[in-house]
Amino acid sequence: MNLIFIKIAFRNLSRHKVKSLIVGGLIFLVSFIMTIGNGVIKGMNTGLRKNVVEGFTGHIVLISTNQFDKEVFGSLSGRPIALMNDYSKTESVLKSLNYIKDFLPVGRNVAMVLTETRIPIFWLLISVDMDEYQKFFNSNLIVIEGNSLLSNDTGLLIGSEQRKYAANFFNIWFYPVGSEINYSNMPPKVFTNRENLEYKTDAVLMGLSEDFSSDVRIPVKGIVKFKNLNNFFGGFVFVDRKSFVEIFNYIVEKIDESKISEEQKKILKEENLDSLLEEELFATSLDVRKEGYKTEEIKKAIKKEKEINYNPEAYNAVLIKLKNGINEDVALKKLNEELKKSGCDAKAISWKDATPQLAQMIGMIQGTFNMIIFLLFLVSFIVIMNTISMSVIERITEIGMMRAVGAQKRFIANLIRLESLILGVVFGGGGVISGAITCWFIRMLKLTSKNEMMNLVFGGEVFSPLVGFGDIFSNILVLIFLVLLAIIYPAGLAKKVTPLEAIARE
Amino acid sequence: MALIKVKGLKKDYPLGKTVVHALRGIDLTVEKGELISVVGPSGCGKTTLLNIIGCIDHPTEGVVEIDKVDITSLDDKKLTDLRLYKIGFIFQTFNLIPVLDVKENIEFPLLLMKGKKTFSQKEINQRVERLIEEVGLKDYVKHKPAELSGGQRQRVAIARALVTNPDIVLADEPTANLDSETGESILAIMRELNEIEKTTFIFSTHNPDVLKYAKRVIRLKDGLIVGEE
Repeated sequence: MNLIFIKIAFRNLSRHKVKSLIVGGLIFLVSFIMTIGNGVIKGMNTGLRKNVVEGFTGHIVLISTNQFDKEVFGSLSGRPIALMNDYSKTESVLKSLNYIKDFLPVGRNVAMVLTETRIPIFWLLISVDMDEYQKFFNSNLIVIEGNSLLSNDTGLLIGSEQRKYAANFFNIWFYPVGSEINYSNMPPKVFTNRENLEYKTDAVLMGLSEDFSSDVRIPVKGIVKFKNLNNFFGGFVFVDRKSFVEIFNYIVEKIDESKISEEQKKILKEENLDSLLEEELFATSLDVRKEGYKTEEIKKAIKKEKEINYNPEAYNAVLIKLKNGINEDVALKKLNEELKKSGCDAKAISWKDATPQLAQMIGMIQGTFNMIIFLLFLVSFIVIMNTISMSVIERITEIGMMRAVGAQKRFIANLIRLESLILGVVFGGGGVISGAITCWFIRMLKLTSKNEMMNLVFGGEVFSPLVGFGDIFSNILVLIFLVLLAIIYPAGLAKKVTPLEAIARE
Repeated sequence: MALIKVKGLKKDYPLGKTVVHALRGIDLTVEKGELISVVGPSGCGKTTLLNIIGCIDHPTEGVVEIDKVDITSLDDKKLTDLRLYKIGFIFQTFNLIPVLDVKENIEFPLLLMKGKKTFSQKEINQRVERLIEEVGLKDYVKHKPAELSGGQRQRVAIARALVTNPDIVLADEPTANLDSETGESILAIMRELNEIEKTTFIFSTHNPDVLKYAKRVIRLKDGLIVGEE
């Protein structure tokens, strides 16, 4: 029974070669594009995951329970985030968990760079022990000008993209103190405008905080770039720990205001305090009212303020790497339970939640691919349905005759299904395998791009579409589903053919 | 014992705003082992009568019993089974499956059978080979229908109709597309098989020359039986 069934199906396909080739060719094309598209998406996800997790965020990020917005990393400037209280408690919990491989506390917030134009630049500041950072992220950061920050250094490491942004929009070119201006590192557009640039080796930063913040002048120690995804994350500015807590006024104890006289309080509230002290924080001194203040009183007030104990554990986030083989979702759930149980001011979020803009862009790229594949599916669905329906109509006599000699409707419908499935498996399988081979070939070529959008599509700088054996199998299943869906109508049409129609057509 | 009983059979076909009365009230009884010819001019209702008896068409009115079963009350599945197990068909235009060879075409109905009436491949082969020999196509077993002459194709159709060992074989103008010599040889085969297998044959024709092969002749005109010989 089965043999004759298969014989008829195969021989019919061979008999109607042109139709078989049209339907088969279409199935081949769809499966080929679908496999490559899925390979690109998977490669992008895998690449991004690897690059982002291993280079920027870790698997899990901890933030304060008071922080509702989950965006820790992302845009060029970002938004301020809350300080985590009592970090040492969180640290001891993290140390006790066996599924955590390593963790890195980071200060992360947003500061304004005060410029002469009075239009501030916003910087996303990362404050961390640079040696620990490089160890944690496998030396993902490269110093392209100047030096890195040593443990006791005071200074900034400006991301190359952030420097480019300042040059493009504010005509400021930052370069490391004690270095020569390296024109070869200037993007062509900036280089053309080099005569009009203001060259600076330091920046005056004012922290964006709900509480009191300070203006601090910090020298530029180096210009840095990331090995991967620099276009996306190259806007980070690294700052030493001491300056960071000073900028955001992260203090252990509050100022005992009873020790400050009314006059001193008034002085501290003065907007242009820096100018009063004639320290010339800005390149150009501003006009301020000096009359009415005694210099001694000013200096005393500042001294008292400087005696404040800054918080060495002022961290806004903790980046966590999990041990190999640990499921991220399970670990995230368990970690949140542990943190809650221990009463820590910390909640765990996934690396994707911590980089919402990146996730959004990935979503857009995936959405575009999915839309293309969906449209292809739709077109294929219609063409396959039409072609097979036409074939059924042409074979009404033959089908009717089979019905006349005793073939049930189900037999006829199954025959049509089998013919279509053979096409689906042969041509679809061929398309999927060809797509997989193409992906493997492209992977071997190691194509690279520096373009920001392409970096996202590639999941890094190297284009590595990824197709596994599981993907091949699942793609073939999807195609079979498409074919089965497309033949519902023609199979129904075939079932409706009566023996009488076969005779009537004579 | 009556194998087929037809009573008050009417069949109307709507044709635009008018109705064509193909059969106007047929009463007929066919005994097992008969070889009947239904004759009459074109449009007299021969094909319609055969189609209704063969469970291919439905009557507008009347009763048709095959082996005491009223076929007018059966659903499509049961009618299909009836066609498979009890009825064999021979069509004017042969209607073979173009992608199958002679042997495969003949064994096709056997392969559709399920349940108690299934045959082993050995039985199928034996049956098919015997029929191939009987219809004289031993040298054409592997030929596809397109590689056969009209007469040879009709022989294949006869073998296919008989392979399930049906109670009734219905042949609608089996010689219409054949030359007279081939047509007569086909009818001779049918008569021979009728005598050997005791299979009931009903064939329609408008060729008076082939009537000699029938044991009983039913004459139709304008949808009514007008004579019997």
